[in-house]
Amino acid sequence: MIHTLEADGIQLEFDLRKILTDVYLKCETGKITGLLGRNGQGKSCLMNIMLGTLNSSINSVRFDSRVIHKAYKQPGLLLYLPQFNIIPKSLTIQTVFNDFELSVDDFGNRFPEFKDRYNTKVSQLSGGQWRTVEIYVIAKAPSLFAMLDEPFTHLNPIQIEKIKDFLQEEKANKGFLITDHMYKHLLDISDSVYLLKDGKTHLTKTVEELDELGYIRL
Amino acid sequence: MQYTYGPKAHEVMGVLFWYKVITLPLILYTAIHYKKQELYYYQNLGVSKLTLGVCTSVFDFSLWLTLSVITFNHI
Repeated sequence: MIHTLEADGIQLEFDLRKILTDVYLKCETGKITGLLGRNGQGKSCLMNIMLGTLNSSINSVRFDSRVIHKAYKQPGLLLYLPQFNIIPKSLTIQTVFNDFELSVDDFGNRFPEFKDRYNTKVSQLSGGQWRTVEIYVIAKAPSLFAMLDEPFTHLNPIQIEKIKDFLQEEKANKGFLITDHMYKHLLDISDSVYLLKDGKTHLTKTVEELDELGYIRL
Repeated sequence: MQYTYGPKAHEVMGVLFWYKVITLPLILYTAIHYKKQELYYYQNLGVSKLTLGVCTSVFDFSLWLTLSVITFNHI
């Protein structure tokens, strides 16, 4: 069964500055939805509104056509990885996987560089390794949807390719909403892409359309 | 404590009690402020900010109260 997560008619303003004016975005299980936009366009704000941690003047976030207000209280529905590190520094890789009830051996088989490092604290990992652990946990933990905010930041090109392959496989288990400035990587793995510009979402797919909308210059 | 402070031990305990009650929310606010990024970790596990705050505060206060009572009665 395909589940849907929609953000519709979202409006957000700080003081008198309108950030989001007319947003529609749809995610489906089994698909990766990309979200592009320049800095300050409100991508992270939109994710927080969908999560329910940021209030907006008008919004309708729907799960299977049913309005939901505080998705963050339902990790089985929606998980969120912000653009910064979330795993407490003092935790070991093993502890993190125990917390999320995931197999650390599966992780080691997928990313062999972590084998024999299960008892290492995440703070002793490189930035890319730390991010890899976070992406894996959020993508693998049981939920219908996951939002990843700038997952490719801190990753080297080889790690990015591995994560892209991993997300392509994991989309069979959930729906992803991913935002990142590395638009080529995002276009590679996304089934649909929205560009957030001037407070509105534009459904796009190709670099030519992104060029027409002024996001990139070809 | 009774040996050290004599009849004023009860007054000292009262001061310490209110000191603990007042500093508890301040410590909680500081912890949440400086660890707000890590709250997403627990949020993804289904543990809310409120639950974390209440549980740690109750544990902290209970531990303080237990140790205070033991100290008050045995020293």
